[in-house]
Amino acid sequence: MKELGKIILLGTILMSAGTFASEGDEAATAPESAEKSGPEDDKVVDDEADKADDRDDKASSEESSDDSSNEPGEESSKEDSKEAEDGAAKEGPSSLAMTLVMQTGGYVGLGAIGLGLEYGGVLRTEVMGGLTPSNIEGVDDIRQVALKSSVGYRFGLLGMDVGPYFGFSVIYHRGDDTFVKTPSKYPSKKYYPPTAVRTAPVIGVEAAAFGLGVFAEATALDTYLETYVRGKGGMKWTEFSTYALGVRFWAW
Amino acid sequence: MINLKKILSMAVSSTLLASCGKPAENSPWSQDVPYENLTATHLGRLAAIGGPASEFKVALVGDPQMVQGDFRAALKKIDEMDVDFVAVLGDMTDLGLRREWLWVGDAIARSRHPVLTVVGNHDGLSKGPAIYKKMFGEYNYSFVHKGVKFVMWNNNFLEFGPPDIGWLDGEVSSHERVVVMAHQPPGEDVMPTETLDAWSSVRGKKSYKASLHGHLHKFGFYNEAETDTLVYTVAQVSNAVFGVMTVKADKIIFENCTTECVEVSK
Repeated sequence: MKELGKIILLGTILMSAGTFASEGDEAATAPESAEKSGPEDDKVVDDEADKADDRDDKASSEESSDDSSNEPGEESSKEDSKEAEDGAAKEGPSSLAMTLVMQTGGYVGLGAIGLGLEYGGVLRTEVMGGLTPSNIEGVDDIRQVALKSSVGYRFGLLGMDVGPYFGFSVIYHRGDDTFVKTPSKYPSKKYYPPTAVRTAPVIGVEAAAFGLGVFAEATALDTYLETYVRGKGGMKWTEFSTYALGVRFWAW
Repeated sequence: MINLKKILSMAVSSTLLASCGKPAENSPWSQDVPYENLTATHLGRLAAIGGPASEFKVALVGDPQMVQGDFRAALKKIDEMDVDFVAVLGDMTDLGLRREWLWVGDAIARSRHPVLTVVGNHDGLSKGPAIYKKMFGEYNYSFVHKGVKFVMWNNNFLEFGPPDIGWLDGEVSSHERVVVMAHQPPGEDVMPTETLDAWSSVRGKKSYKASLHGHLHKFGFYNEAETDTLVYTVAQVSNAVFGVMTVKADKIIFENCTTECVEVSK
């Protein structure tokens, strides 16, 4: 299990580092992705999403003006290309999309459902409500709210949009025994950190097609990571991390 | 260039394989721990320990919160020592979260010696109190080992409410040689003056021989003159340090164990 965990972490980090570092190369080796978003899409990065939209529009208008001067044979192939582009756009996220996400595990609940926004296929923020029923774990139902934000990258693989992402979750659980603001019975405001809110870095991979994606994530709670570091290791990777599995739908 | 597709396949497949091995963690605030009644179980193990009643050793471990790796390392070192039992003097967790309790349970399960615990103030956060009760049992309990009564007392005022001084007094008064273990040492200013005074008066009883604590994250030892009680505080188990108490027929000796165990004097 230790080795598997290391492979997940290392693999995802390497993969992501590699993809972010060599996007141009990847675009060249991923014709589906390049075809989907237009000729300039290989320049798109998360912080230039607005510019990318403008470029797409410009490219689109240039394309239509070019069409008028094209030879008949070329026109046919352009139309085919445009159809493929439209089809691909339906399959995966475009520049701004709304998402519906459902997941299990990952500290967010046995079952969690939420909505989110995705920008440019790389930036995503989702809000989820999760429940862990008392008959499954513990004494009380545990209700949680989580905000998960991530940045990622996608490329074409076997007809799907596939790629890694990094992010973090902020998880909140309101209970009689948890607090955000230190209760007045304690001698100072910083006597304890908030016990109702925790954060967790997330790394994941996702495969999407036809507006539906499946994902797997590895995550570790801030307290658990700190315990691992301060205790100088001494624990297996699987002892301080967990995973989540889920599905995601793109609404538009 | 890195073969991205190959690495991606490896990451996905290994995540799925890992996920087959164990269930995902649903909530940090879950109370679902696989350990129950560890205090009773370990008292049973302790009762079976023989050897001379005239002298025995107890290993003392403090505040494993946030240093679980060191806690394991310390227990491993203690495994090679000749002690009758290990006492963990509270703050086993930092926020009382489920996974933190699992680590504690796992570490105790691996120990060769019986392990007995007192609850700490950090253990009183989140679901900690409920999980402690399920995993270990009562917050206040006592037992007699080789003629010495050990009183394990919850004195975490802010998290659990007023400590049960009456119970402590009764336990101390009912035996002629008593060692009290509680997380917070005498003089902690978070306790109301009346609680501190009442506790001081119990320490003044002749049978109250020693008071053992954690909480301060540093070693400390003195003989409280007004009560004639030995007060020992064990450092946090960071870097796998711990203490050892040797109970002899006529005296109690303490050692601080870092790279080696060194006797401490008053």
